[in-house]
Order: sequence, then structure tokens, then C-alpha cells
Amino acid sequence: MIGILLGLRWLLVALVMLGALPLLVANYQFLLVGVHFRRLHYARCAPFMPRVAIIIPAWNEAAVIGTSVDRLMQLDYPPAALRVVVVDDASTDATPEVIAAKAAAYPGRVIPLRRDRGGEGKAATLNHGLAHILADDWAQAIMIIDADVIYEPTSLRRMTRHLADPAVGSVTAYIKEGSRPGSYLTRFIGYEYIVASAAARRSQEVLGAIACLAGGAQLHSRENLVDLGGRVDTSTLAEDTVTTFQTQLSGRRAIFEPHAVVWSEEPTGIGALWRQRMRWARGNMQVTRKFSGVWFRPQAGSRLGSISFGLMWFCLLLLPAFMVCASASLVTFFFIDASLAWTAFHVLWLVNVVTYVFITSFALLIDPQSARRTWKEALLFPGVVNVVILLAAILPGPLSQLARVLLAAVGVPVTSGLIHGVELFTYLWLAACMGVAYLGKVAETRWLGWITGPLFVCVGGYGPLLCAVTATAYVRELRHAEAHWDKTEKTGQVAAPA
Amino acid sequence: MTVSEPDEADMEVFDEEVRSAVRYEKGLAYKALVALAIVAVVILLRLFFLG
Repeated sequence: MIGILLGLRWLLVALVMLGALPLLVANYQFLLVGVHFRRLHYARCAPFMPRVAIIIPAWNEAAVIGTSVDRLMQLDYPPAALRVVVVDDASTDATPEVIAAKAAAYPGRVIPLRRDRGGEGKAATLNHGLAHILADDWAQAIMIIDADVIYEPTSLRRMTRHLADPAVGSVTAYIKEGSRPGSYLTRFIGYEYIVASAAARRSQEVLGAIACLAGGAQLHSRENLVDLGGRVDTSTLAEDTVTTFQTQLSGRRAIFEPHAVVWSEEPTGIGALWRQRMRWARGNMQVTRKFSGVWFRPQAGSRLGSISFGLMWFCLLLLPAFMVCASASLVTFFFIDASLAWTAFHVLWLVNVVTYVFITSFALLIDPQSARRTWKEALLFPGVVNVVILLAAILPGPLSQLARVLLAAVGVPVTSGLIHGVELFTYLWLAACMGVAYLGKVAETRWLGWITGPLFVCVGGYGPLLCAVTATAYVRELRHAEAHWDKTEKTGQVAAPA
Repeated sequence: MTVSEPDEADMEVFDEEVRSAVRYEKGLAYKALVALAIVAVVILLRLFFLG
């Protein structure tokens, strides 16, 4: 019996410590950003400006498509080497008229295409355009973008220069959040993009494997797309990730060009964000299954199978499971050995503090322009309660004194029961924060939702909200729920800073 | 794809942009050290003053 209890204790310690794995991997990922300068591809670049066909899938994009086409026509790129193919996916708004007007304004440079039957998703729309582009040999490179993105004038030529190296199959850019005037949610997304795009893609480049070309900025050499069958994948919700994997598995390089900047409009409501991220999360799970033979199997020609890349991929994908596992283990532990549970939690939380301080400060330094807008959301990314717990780990003495003073002021005595209650709450919060953040989505559409929705997200945390999306995506994938292509509504409120 | 010989103006712009990008990327190494220094300060404060 004693042996079983001892074994159970160590098992629980191990499960709690497992919760530190994604944190350690995140730190490793950010450390790699610091050595990105050693892996730059510029030595193999040249001022190369091939003939580029830009393909824009458009379904009910009347609010944004005109501005996007105008901005593309103003790119710092030879006009004779640039064509824009807009594929109207049987829109029911004024999109066809806007596209026709742009085709008339830029004859020969804007090519309108229309699908009579729409609603089959972005990938099917892209394939319609790709078939047209690849039917003749004009295009030397093909850029896939979204209808709402705004390219900075130099972005395209900063990307095409990498294609001077025949080993490169595709190039992506740094997508930045450009919603103006924006909201607390778009500022959270702005900070998230520093972490997930500017930092993560740099570290992936150091590892030699890019997880995903940004959907709004995928430049492919013609040879690469032709070798991939001249089509993008329609079997998953993440056609951009599948193309990225296929490119690298075929032996070509995928490059992230952080100095090619593209601004995109992001969802301003929690519901719209939830639908967008559900598509991404389910898409990533489908990709995980589709490439099941790749993970943790190092192979020649591709680094997608490396241990480091696999750890990064799965730590992100399984983050909600890690959080629930650590929380459940701590709660069980609390009832077996409260003292040891506290020690295990303390170790886990100190790793959390180091990760929070390192990643937040480094991320803000990586992109100071975005940091000026998003620093408050960066600090609140884990949620108000988690930030308080983090502060308690850094300042246990002063915060404990403050809590005692406050409790005395309201006449609540500090008993061992109260202390144990607080301990149990912090253990539960590791997983419960996802539920509280999820309540933000529920509350948003109810009475006073304009205040309760953001309140739940700020208290629970934006990071935990994304974990809640992933956790829900697990359930939907396990149930084989129907996978819709839920379009993110765009209003044209996007702007590149002057 | 064949890469034609770039003209002088293109080459100058290219060189300048690449130089600037490399400078920025090297700067990230120093920024990583700054972030690590902030972590070290927090740990030292925690160990010696705030425990």
C-alpha cells in the first residue's frame, strides 16, 4: 500500500512537471530567434523580379477587394511583370462589379474570373485560379493572398529575391495585424502575431522547417506548384499548411522573409475570432493526421521530421491537454499530500514566471512598432488571474502581506481553511481559465455582452481562449463533425501605417 | 527560372535592403540577451529581496 502511494506521488509529480514541457519548448523556440542571423538566406538571393501572377480568392469581398487591388497595383515592382487574378467565388454582393471596375481600370493587369458554383471553400477557389494561371507559361511565380491584405510597397520584391535560389520553392511574409481603429481583441491578435509569426517562423527557419506559409502571403515558384500537381489541397481546412509541408517534403526550401510586411484585418468580435481559429485548429489536426508518417522521423531533404520541430508542433497542438493534465494532477495531489503538491506547483509556476518574463520582453523587443500598440495586451495575455498568480510567485512576501491587510480590512480571518481554498483555486485555475475565457464568447452575444465578453477574456486570458478553441477542436475532430469553411467577415478597416 | 543580370540601381537598392535586414537580425541577438538579463534580474530579486 505504501509502495502504491509512493508510486502515485511520483506519477503525479511527473504529470505536473509535464505541464512545464510546453513552457520549456517555448523558451527554446525564442532562444533560437536570437541566432536567426546565422541562418539568413540573403547570400543566395539576387535582385530578381520574375513575372508574378497574384491570385486572390474572393467571396463577398466587395468591402475590401477594390482597395486590395489598388494597393497591389502600387507595389514597387515592374508593372509588366505583375498580374492580379481575382477569382470571384460566386459572390452574392457587389464583388463582381468591383472586380469588373478594377479590370477596366487596369486593363491586362487585373484578370477577373468567376466560378458559377461557389461555397466550396478557399482551396477550390484557388484551384480555379491556378488552372487559369498555369494554362500558359506567362507566370514564373505565383503569389496566393487573401482579399483583405495590404502589402507594403517593397514586400513583393523582398520576397521574390529568394526565388533566385532554385532550391527555394516558396516564400512567406510577416503578417501583421492592421485593423484600424481596432479593439482590445485586435491588439491581443497583434501581440499574438509577433509571437506566432515574427518569432516562431524565425525559429522554425533556424531549425530548417517552416510549419506554415501565412495564408495571406504565399509566394511559390512555378516549378514548385507544378511539381505539387498544380493544385492546392482540398481535403483539409489548412490548405496553406499542407502546401508548406508538401513543398519541404519534395526537397525544396520554404523561406520566411520577416522584412516583407503584409497588413491584415482581424476579427473584432470573439465569435468571429472563435470561428476563424476553429478552422485553423481543426486544419492543424487534419494536417497532423495527414502527415502522420513525418513526425519525429528525421529524414534526408526535410527537417519536418526533426525532434525539435515535432516538439514545437505537438506542444502547441496539445497545450490544452497539458494544462488539464497538470491541473487535474495538482488537485489529486492536494488531497494526497498538500505540502508536496504545493512544492510541485511552485516549481511549475517558477518555470512559468521565467517563460512569461522572457517571452513577453523579447517579443516586445522583436517588433517595437507593434509593441507600442500591444504592450498592455502582451502583459495581460495569460489573463488577469494568471498574472496575479505569476506576481505571487515573484513577490510572495509583499503580496501575502497585502492579502492579509485586505482580508483584515473586510473582516475575513486568515485560517488554514482559507489558505487551502486559495491553493486549490490556483490548481484548478490552470484548466478553469480556459472555461472562463470561453464564457467571453458566450457572453458576447448576450445582454451587456459588449462589457462582459471582454471582461471574461481579460480575466480568463487571451492565451487560454485560444487553448479553449483548440480543446473544442479536439472534440469536433473526434466526433468527425462537419468541417465548414467559415469565412471571416472583413470590413475594409485595415491600414498600413504611414 | 533564369535570373537575368540586375541593373546597377536594382543592385544598390538590394544591397542596402539586405544590409539593413542583416543589421536588424543581428540586433535580435542582443535583444535576446536583454530579455535574458531581465529574467536574471527577476530571479535575483526573487531570491535575495522579495522572498
